[in-house]
Order: sequence, then C-alpha cells, then structure tokens
Amino acid sequence: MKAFLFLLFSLLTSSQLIAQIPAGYRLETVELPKGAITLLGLCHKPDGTLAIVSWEGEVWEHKEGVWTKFAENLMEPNGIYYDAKEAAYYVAQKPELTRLIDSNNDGICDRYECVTDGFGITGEYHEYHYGPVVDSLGRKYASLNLAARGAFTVPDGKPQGVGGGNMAYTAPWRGWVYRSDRAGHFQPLASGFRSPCGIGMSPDDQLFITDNQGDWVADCCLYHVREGNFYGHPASLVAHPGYGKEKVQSMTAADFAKIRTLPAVWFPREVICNSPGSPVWDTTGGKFGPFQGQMFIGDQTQSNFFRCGVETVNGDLQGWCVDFLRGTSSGTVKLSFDAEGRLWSSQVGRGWYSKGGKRTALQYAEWDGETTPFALHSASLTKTGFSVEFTERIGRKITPVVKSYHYHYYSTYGSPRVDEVELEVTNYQLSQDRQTVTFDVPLTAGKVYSIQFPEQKNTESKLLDFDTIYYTANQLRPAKEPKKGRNVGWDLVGSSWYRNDGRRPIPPVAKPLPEADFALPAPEAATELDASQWSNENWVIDSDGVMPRGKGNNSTKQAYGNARIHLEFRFDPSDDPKWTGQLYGNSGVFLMSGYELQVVNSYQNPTIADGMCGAIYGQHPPRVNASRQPGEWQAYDILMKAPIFADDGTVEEPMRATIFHNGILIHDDVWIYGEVGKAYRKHGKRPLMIQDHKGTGVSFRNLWIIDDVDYDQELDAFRSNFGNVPNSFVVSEPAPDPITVLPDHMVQAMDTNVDNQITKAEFLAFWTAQFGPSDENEDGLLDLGEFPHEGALKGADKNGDGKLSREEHRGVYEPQFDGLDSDKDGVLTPKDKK
Amino acid sequence: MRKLICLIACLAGYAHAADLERGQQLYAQLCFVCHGPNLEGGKGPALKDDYWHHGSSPEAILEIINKGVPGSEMIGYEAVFPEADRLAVRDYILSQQEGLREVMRSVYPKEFFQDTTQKLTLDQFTNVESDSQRLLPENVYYMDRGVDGVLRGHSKLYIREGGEYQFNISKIGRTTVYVNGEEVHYSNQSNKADGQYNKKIQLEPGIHEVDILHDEPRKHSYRLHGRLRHNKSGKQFALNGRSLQGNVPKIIKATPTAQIIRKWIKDIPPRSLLCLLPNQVIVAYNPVDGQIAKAWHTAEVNQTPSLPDRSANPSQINGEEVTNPPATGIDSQLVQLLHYEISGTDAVIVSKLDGIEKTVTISPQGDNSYSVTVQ
Repeated sequence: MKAFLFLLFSLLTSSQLIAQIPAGYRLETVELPKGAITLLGLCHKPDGTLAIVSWEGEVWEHKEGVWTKFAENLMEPNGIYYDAKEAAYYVAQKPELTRLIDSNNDGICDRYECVTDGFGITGEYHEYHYGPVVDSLGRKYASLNLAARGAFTVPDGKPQGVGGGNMAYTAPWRGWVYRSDRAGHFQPLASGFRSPCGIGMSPDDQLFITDNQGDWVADCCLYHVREGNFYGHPASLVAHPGYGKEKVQSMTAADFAKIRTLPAVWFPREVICNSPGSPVWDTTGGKFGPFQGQMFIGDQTQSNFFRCGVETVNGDLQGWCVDFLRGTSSGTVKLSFDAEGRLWSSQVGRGWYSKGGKRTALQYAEWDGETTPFALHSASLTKTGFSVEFTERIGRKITPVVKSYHYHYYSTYGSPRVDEVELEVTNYQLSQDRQTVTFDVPLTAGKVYSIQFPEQKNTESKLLDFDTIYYTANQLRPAKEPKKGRNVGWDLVGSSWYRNDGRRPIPPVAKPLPEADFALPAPEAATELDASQWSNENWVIDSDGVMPRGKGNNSTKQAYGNARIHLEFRFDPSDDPKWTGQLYGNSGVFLMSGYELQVVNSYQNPTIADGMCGAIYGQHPPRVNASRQPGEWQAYDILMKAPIFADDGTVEEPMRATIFHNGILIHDDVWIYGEVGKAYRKHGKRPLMIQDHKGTGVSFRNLWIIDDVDYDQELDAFRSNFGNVPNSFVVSEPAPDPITVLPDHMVQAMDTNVDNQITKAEFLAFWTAQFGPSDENEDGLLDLGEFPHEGALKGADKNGDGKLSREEHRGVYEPQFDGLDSDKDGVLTPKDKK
Repeated sequence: MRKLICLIACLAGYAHAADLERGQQLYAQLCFVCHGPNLEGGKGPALKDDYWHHGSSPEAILEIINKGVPGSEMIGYEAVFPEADRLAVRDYILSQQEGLREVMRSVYPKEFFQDTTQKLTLDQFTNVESDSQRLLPENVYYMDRGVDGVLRGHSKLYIREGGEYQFNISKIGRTTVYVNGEEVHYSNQSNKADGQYNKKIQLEPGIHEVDILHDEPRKHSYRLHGRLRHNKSGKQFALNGRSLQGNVPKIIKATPTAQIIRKWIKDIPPRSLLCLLPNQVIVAYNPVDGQIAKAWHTAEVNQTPSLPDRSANPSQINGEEVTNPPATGIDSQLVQLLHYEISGTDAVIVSKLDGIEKTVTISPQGDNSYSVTVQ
C-alpha cells in the first residue's frame, strides 16, 4: 500500500505535468555553491568555464563540476561579461562598471578596476545597473534603472489612487543606456528606459534592451536601441541636454509620444512574460535546434524561455515573439549559450514573484540533436498580411485566429490591450513544403497582432506546445523598402544608424560662449598656420589674417599625428532661400586629411544630424548645437589621437577626438569609425586639410596646431577647458529617508503620488481596494475564511454577525492608521517611528 | 531559578548537568564576549532567539561547543574544558530557551487526505510517506512557496513560566494540535458541525512536545497563523513565521588580510570603499572626493538586512565610531577612482587626483585605528 501510494504521489507531482518542455529538449539543474547565493548573471569563458555573479556580491567560477570563488564583496553586480582579449571579467556593480583582474593567475581576483562611474547613484535600492554587453569594437554597454522612490517623477496629472507609483529620476543618467570604451569614458547613448533589466548585443552589433511594464511602459517590450533616441519613460529626460527638469515637467503624454521610439516587439504580459531578462542569440550553428539566429529571452516572473525575432520594415526593426519552454525552477534574468550549444540560465525569485518558486537556481536547456519540436518557428509581415513558418510539416491546415490591439501611453502602471478585435483572415495558403502559411488580414500600423493556431497539428497529429505568435507592426511594408544609407549595412557600430540617416535625432541647441572666451591665441608651442604653411595658392590670406574658402582643397605642407588644433571660421550671411541645408557655407576640417569635422552653417538651418556643424561627418552628430549666427566668428578646439594600426594594416585603436565648438563640448572622446565614406586604411602622419565644398562662402582665421601631443595624458586637462569640469554632472540628490512604519512594498503600493508621505485617504484606499478580491463568494461580506484575522474581525464586527461589511472592514484600518501615525500629524512620513 | 534549571535538566534527561550554575558561571566568563551577557548576541549570533544556524537540539548545541564552527571565531572547546563543563554550558543555554525548538516540518501529499471534513489525527500519518522532511532553523512553521501539501509539525516547546496556556490559531482549513501527546486544539472549516475546541492547558516549566497537523485549501499564500499564549502574562510564542531560507545571516568579519567591501550603508556615500582591516577597523573611503566618510573600530559589516527580498534595506556596520578619524588630506577638484586592491594588511586605492595618479594606502594601526598615506 505504502509503495503504491508513493508511486501515485510521484506520478501526481512529476514536474512534467507542470513544465512545458518542447520535444527533444531537457532542462537540467546544477547545484550552486553553499551559502548566501542568489544568481543575477552568468557568462562563459572560451575554455568552457562558467562564471556566475550573485546578488550578495560574489563571483564564482564553475569548471569540471567544481565551484571556486573568484571575487567577493561587490555591490549587487547585475551581469557579467568575460573579455577574452583582456583576460578579465566586467561586472556592473551598483556604483560602477568594474573590471576584475587576476594578475597573478591564482584563480582569485586581486585587482578591481573602476572602468566608469560617470553616472549618479544615491543609494535608493532600485538604482540597478545591468550589463555589460560588448560590441565588435570591444566597447561595453550597460543600462541604468530609474529609482523606485525619489523626488522627481512624471505623473502627468494621473489621478490619485490609480495604479502604482511612478519611477523617479534621482541622479544623472538614470533611465539611460550608456557606452564605455576601454579608457572608461562614459557616453550616454539613449534615454527613456524604466527598468531596463535585459540588455543584449546582437551578432551584427545591434543593441537591444528589454524593459518591464509600469508607468509609461504599457507592457514588457524589446527596444532596438539607436544612439540619441528616447524610448518613452520621461523621467530620464532630465539628464538630456535638450530637456531638463523644468521642460519635462511642462510636457504632457502627448508631447512625449511625439518624441518617443516604439519598441521593436511588445511582449504580452502574463502570456509571454512579466519581467523579461537579457536576450541572447542562437549562434550555436544548429546545436540548439532549428532556431538558428533567433533571440532567446528568459522571464523572471513566468519562469519560462521565449523566442523572438526581428526584421527590417520601412527602415526600422520590428518582429515577433512566441513562448518556448516553461517550468524553470525560478525566474531567469540572464542567459548564455555555451560552446556545446546548451542554453544556461541564471534564475532568481527573490523580491519579485517567480512562478518557478525557488529563490534561485542555475539551469540549462539542452537539445538532443535530432528531435524537431513542433512549434511556430517565426512570423513575417507581408504587404497584405503575414507569413508564419512552422518547424515541421503541418497536417490539415486550420485557419488561424488573428486579433489586433494597441496600448495606451500614460503614467499609469501598464496598459490593458486597447481596441482588441478579431480580424477576418482571407487568402489562406500553405506552401508546397507544408511548413509556411501565408494569409491576408486588414493591417494598421502601430498595432500588435496575435496569431493563434488552435488545434493545429503536424503530420503526426501532434499539437503545438504554444499556439500563438505575436507580431508588433509599428510599420507596414512600404511599396518599396527604402534604400539603406549611402553605405551598405549598419555601418555605425553600436549606434544602429546608417550614415546620413535622416531619422536620427537632431541635437538640442546650446548657448555658445562669447567670442572673447574661445578665440584663443596660439600658445608658444603651437605652429601658426600662416600663408607659408598651406599648399593651395588659391586660398589667400588677407591682411587681417582671414582666409576665405578657395578653389580646391587646401592642405598644410606639413603632416601631423596626435594633435591639438584650434581654428576659427565664419559663414557669409545669406538670405537666399537657395542656399540652405548643406549649401549654406559648406566646408570641412579634414583631420589627417581623411576624418571630417563638418563645417556648415547650422544656425537656424536644419540638416541631417550627422552632417551638421560640429558633426564627425556621417558618424557622430555633436552632443549639442552650439552654433553662432553667420557673420560671427566661431571656433573649433580639437584634441585628437591618430588611429593605431597593426603591421598588417588592421586597426588596433581607432582614431579618437574630443572637440569644443564655441567653447561647448560637442564630442567627448568619441571613436571615429573610419575616413569619410571609407573604411580605415593604414597611414602615418598626414596633413590637415580644409575642404572646398559647395554653397555660400566661409572664411577661416587663427589656425594653429600643436603636433605630437599625448592625447591620453592631456585629455582630462583639455576637457576641463572653458570651465567644463568633466565629472561635474555627477551630482546626485540624496535619497529621501524611507517611511519605516510600513514595509517598503506597501509604501510603494499606497503612496500613489510618490510624495513620500501617505495620507489617511491613500492608506484607506489601499485597504478598501482589498475588499473586493478578498470577497471570494461575492456576497458583499467577508467571513473568517475570507478575512483570516479573528481578533480584528471580532473587533470591527459592529453588528455581531461574524462577518465584515465594507463599512466594518474599513473600520479595521482606520485605527491602524492612527496607531502608525506616531507624531499625529495626519500623514505617515519618514518621521513616524514604530 | 534553581528549581527551574533543575527541572529543565531533568526533563532533558542529561544527568551530568546537575550544576547549571557552573554553566552560567562559565558563560559569564567566556561566551558572553561574543554572544552577549544575556545570550542576546553580539559579534556572534544570539543564543535565545528562534533562529539556530546549526540546530537547536541539545546534541547539536553540544556539537558546536565541542567542535566549533569552521571559518568563524567560534572555536571548539573539546580540548579546552572537561566534558562536565561543556555540558554545563550547553544546559545553561538550553535553560534560557523559550518557545518552539527543534521544529521538524514534514509535508505530505494532499492525495492521502482528500476528505477535508475529517479530523486530521496523528495515526493517519503512520503509513503514508511524506514528500519532504526538514528541520527548520527558523523554529517557526512555514510552507515553501509553490508547495501544496498537508503540514505535520513536530517540535519541542520550552516553557519557563508555568501556568495556563492556550493556542490561538486562525480558522483556516483544518488543524489539530497535540501537547505531550494529548489533543488540545481542533478546528475544521469544512465540517463546522464536528466538535471543535481549543482547550486551556496547564504547562509546567520545562520541555514539552508539540505536534501540529494542518491542511488548508491552496491560495496564493500559506495562511496558517497561530500563537501560544500564556494567559496570565499575555506572553505569546509564534507557531508560524517566514522562511529565512537563503537569507542565511551574512556577516563580513576581519581576516588576516585587509578587505575592500562595496555595500550600501545608510548615510555613507553609496560609492564608498569600506576598507575592513585585520584589526577590525573599517574605513569608509569615498572615491568621489577622496575623503574618509567615517571609520569604526571593533567592527564588521552585517549584510543580513539587505539579503531578503529586493535588498531595499541597507547593510549595517556593527562597531564603535572612531573619534577624529585620520584624514587623507586630499584637496583636489577632480578625484577619479582607477582601481583598488589588497596588499597584505593594507587597502590600496589608486586614483587620479587632478589628473595625477596617486595611491592611497590605508593600514591598520594599533587595536582601534588606522593610518592613511597618499603617494
């Protein structure tokens, strides 16, 4: 009997019943080291070693079944990357991006290098820092969470008591994604993120972020990150040079909607995920099944893995998602493929609910190498509908159920699906190989399409594990897909723009310094570039030292390398509407004859961002537009480092430059991707060249150059020119004292207007809202089963029926508030003590 | 007092432990240094709260006294004191306990107990197999998240004040409680007609046995809530509580080499490097301005408060503040952290001060202080 019962029990609780694991795959759990370990991230070294980071601040290595501790005492490192070239780990700990080095090779970290700490932190617990991921040039990218509580939020008129609090901006660059090179320069890249827990760099250098639904974020989603773009959460705009606090506060949801970029893929919550982690790409070459090239993402709440993919439609990336595997032990935050093609997952269920139930777990999924799971492989938008691919031949074709919906964009926590309607499916066709179906549906840009294949079987009568694929159609297929930029491909690594991409955000206008501050005379060490220094006789310097643009490019006779350069320029004023855009005073400063710092009038003369005055042409727009009017003198102050080439001609370090325009910093140690319109080719010192280009006239004066400067040595001093203190923007507001008489999660739920105090109305609104959900039999009364606090029930049960009415239920909490309000000022504040 | 001690000793059945006063004396000479004069804890864990890292049974406590805890300052006393003394200390510690100890939780599949109108009794558990059985170091009952089953708990109950006691248990599902084998509490929400009762019980000071059987319909959280109340004084002992699983208290103590720790401590700049020196001095160096934010002696970093949930609470520093902490003397506009490392007993921090690379070395000095050099 006992044996029978035991058998019965094993069958009933066998995890297969709960988990949904596709055919051919299995999920394995790996034991963690003992002690306080909650996983946050993981990565693989080329030698097969697995490394994990824990919330408690430790890094462990796992090799041949043995765990060893590599580093400890970090502050909540949320992600780890192993740089094989440098033989070092990078971790995003809360206060900084840190490089961990084992210099004596004993398997234990002995040097902690601060790579960058160019962002602010106040100590508020939600100021998470995720990453890093790395582009093909070796630069690191990481993301910065907003704070859960703080003074600056953007509630945009949200009524009191409506859904959840608002995330706050507490310190510089919160809600941003940034880039950092090996020299540790902090370059904010894109804004508008709320809780950007997932970060991934695709094999073709596209940066992706996943965010969690909440205020201003309608649902979980995947963003394709382009340098300079704003992705929707307005609190982060405080750090944006074109916005700032006052401007953000004066804006409404409609204003933010105009400037935001939509997610490439929306992930329907509950169905696909609630708190997505970092995407990884299946580059296993088929070792992990038939999903080569697709994105895999794990979810912290749902304890699943799902797949997604993107395609270019009308110049933007957008795509689909579909569930893949359910029933992991805890909730995935980071994934990593190992060399054998196994998908490893670091999981955590602490602080946020995870269906898997475990506090933490390390698991991997493995494919058996032969069984093809029957699944929805991918979806693609056509001009008239969709094509959906299956992994296997399908049996009798069943018309899918297709619905469309969109979301609100507002400060309330998450949005429901809006206007969800079922669409008529026509022209349903199956391909010859029985693996791809196409159909037409009415299409509207900006909608999400759920495409469900209920009861669809394969030729062996097996059902799909997950029968719905979701497609985000921000754009519809144009009649003709626009040509990519002038050069082919995503040639601006890590910024995701094409050259001369007209969609690229225009930098904000900044106030230039007065001429007296930037018209610097040549220092003693400098070579003044007078008439004797120039090779093109068509450019004539007049008696005032002014050199108007002449015919043909003009190069210096001498060649230069790493240099400090100053020059002044002036556009001839023109009222002729013919001379606008690139035709208004076009010239250029060609550093080392090949790398162009654009000279064109950008004072009230719009043009493409990477072609405006101060742009590294075709690559980097200036941080801000500090132009002065035509007719007024302007200046460039340049510190540049020549590219370093290996003997075989490959680039060891690209050219770098830091540039001021009229005394305003417009390039902060940027990396230059190549010559104008051309890839790098090996060269030594080359002359400085001024370009003869088109349009109205432009003149130059006071040109001087110092050759052979030590760029790295001079950089800090150079950046602090014109009163700029490089780190001066890292001034954080102190985190407010927390309310301590209630647990933090209740404070968050109750303090709906996030003013760090809880009024009696807020307190009671929270509790009275619990009445409905508690009243399971919906009789309008709570009995002891529904309200299991006998003493409280008896105390508040005025009519003695053993049940609480709404009024009586409220009576439970009114005295509680008074009890918590120890200073009796009518509100719960940090001053109230238990 | 003496009578109580004897009684506990007798109940526990440890004949050697007659002289508990000897135990108390030894405790006051030695153990209190770490565990506090009233067992309330200090550098070492408390010895009279519910949480017992290494088990709360007499055998488990003796084992720790004998063998110590590797990797901590708790050494084994087997070779230091005769057995009688070690037993005396152990029994003195036991004599100070109150409430549930040695809490053993077994979880049974609900399939065996499907008729929820029936009373749960101990004999129903004799020929079924439990799914899991675990000694809970928290010494209160809870159910792991996501687990649905029937709870059977067995524990010791330490009573120091005799008199009338009564259980106060929320009416959820069905519950039966036994004290020393006698049924004292029964309730069943699925069969209210069944005779339900909650007896007042007389408990003598000493060690008792408590069995609790409980089954409730699965909801989003486990809802068993119960206390044992001493009617005269109103004192209560919790039966249930929350799992501290994984939140194993974590304290970072001084080691023979220095350590540099990054933890969020309230009112200390969040980027501070907490330099924990071998002489138990902690120096909080702020890498943003190059100043010493604060320093403590006889100190350690207690990470425990930050471990549960979302780490919404900061870690703490236990220790005495160093008065007039030596300053770095750094007076630079621009301080930029480059890297930090340990060099023996010193914490070494390399920064760029107004563009010039400098090394800040923080070294232990005497028992309660440190020195700092900038080169």
